[in-house]
Amino acid sequence: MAREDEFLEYVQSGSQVEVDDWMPDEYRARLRKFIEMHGNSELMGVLPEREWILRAPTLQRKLALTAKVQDEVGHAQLIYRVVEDLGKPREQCLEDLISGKSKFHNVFHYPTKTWGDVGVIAWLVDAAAIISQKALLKCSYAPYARIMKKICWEESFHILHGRDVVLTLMLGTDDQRELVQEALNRWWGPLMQFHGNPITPDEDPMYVWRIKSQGNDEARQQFLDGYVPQIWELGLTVPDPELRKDEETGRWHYTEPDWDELMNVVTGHGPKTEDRLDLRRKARENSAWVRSVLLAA
Amino acid sequence: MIYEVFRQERKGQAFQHAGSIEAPDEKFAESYAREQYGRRGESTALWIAPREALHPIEDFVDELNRNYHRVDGYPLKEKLKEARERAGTAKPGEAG
Amino acid sequence: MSAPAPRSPEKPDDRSRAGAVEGEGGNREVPPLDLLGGAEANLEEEGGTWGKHGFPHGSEPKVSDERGRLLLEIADDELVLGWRDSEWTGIAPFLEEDVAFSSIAQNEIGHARALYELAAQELGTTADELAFDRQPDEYRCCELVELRLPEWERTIARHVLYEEADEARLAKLKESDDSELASLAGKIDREEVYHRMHAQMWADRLKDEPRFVAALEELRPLVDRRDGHTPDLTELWEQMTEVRRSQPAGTTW
Repeated sequence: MAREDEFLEYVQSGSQVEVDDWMPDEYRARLRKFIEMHGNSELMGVLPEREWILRAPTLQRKLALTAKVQDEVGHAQLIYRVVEDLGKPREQCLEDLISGKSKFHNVFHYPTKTWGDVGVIAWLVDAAAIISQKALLKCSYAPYARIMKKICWEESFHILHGRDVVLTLMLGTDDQRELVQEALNRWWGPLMQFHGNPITPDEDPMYVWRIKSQGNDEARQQFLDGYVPQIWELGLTVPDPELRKDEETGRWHYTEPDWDELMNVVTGHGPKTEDRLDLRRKARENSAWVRSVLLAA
Repeated sequence: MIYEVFRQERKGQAFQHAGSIEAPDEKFAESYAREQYGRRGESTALWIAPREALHPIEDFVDELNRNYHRVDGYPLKEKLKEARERAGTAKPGEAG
Repeated sequence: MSAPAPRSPEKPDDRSRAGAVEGEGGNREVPPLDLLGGAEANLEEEGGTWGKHGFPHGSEPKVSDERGRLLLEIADDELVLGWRDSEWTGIAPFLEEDVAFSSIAQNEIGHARALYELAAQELGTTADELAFDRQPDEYRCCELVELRLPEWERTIARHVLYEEADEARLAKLKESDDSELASLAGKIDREEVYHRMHAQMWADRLKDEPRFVAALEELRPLVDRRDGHTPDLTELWEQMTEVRRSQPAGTTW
């Protein structure tokens, strides 16, 4: 027990561990699961956006969107490598993902219906993700902290691309403006759920072990603070009549998100969960021969 | 096979470990390293090596405080003060 | 607040939203024609079905001149191939290859863009208009690049065959008297070095694999076959131009 207490003090003082350092079993298990879910999310996040790579309306958008999705695949590669070095092979991770055994973030269970979604996702979903990712830059597990640096650097253009798409639409026809508002109306709920339920940092093992350096609510507040003004200044409305900032406390008030829905979705019951896992399964099956040819040195 | 990738951001800088990739052989590893660590022009050069080619060394022993070859082994303040007093060149505030 | 039931993809929403692309089954089918401006979209008059889009009849870029024709030929090859190759982004056989192949797809689109820009100057239009606003039968790409090839061995076979043919084509262009064209060909050629390396790498690995050998045989006759188009091109074009066609020509995206 003493060794674990020492470890706790060590990470809470801001120090980091490497792959071969001693770690408590609980830390290692939680860490690996957390990182694996992140990898799963990057890989599943590719699928909603991929459909629009094929429908991008200009060459510039085509290039940007392809590059963005490519980055996400690249992130999955970085993340699964870290998980593999922690003891779980990539193939096992992919199998668990496809079988529904392991999870991925809520936002990737929802459909993308229009070009408006493309803009809103790249702007706001990526923004929500970057807030979480910045909080991981100081992760007590150094290999993960290091890849987060590369990930954050690559994400920087994603948000700009998203904002550019949205701004262009908002400066366009009435139909185009409506695309954005309508997409925002559908994505607001999942966005508010994105950072997780309001568990206090001291009760959140991820924070206690300094895997995350920020609590869920704090991340959500940061998101609202940064992006609601950006939304409002374009003349868009947020579909939450309760949303306002308390100028005295600096905290945002909002309608409590539906935490049951979040739980339901991440446990595999989102509108697009089945379809997307199915796509992954088929892609994997069809290319199994490629992997075996390549492994036969 | 796992290959470790090292990247040099700008000419003249040291190569730093950037990450690792999985590839069936060196040719594939080169191709993949280029893309994963250089597609945005973020590196001027890369090195790749199979993971087994790298040997970690982590145990450094210094039980008897070998400070004779380090800067912290040479606290000269006291001696300098004495020498100045002897030569009559003590600085103001140093006397005594 | 009770958890809402997951939305059934079968339930059609209001279809009149521009850019909405769910077909009846909730799939990415071609949207019903009424999305695209009602009766206009069905007109059989000159200018065709999509008369609202594309170049006003009679003012299509005159591609009878040698240079314009050649530029569009190469640009269309690169555009369509790049579009096909980009279908693998996110679902390639494994992650490292996914990233690498996506770069190849992006480069191809980039080459197409540069070539369209050159042609656009001459033809008095824009690269995007050339890329998106022509009719399928006005594209000058070869049959090889149009095909939808969801099997990796066929995709790689195409990649190998195309790089071979393209290398020869670029070599000739680099010698062209047309200095602008020769210079662009040089730039493209330098980027293609990586593509060739990649194609060779895979060809070496798969050379004894029966399905790859079969794919090469299947696709080789299609290299530089330009006497018509396959239905695959129309399907691709419809997908590619879906969002663009949902708003009047000239709309910025």
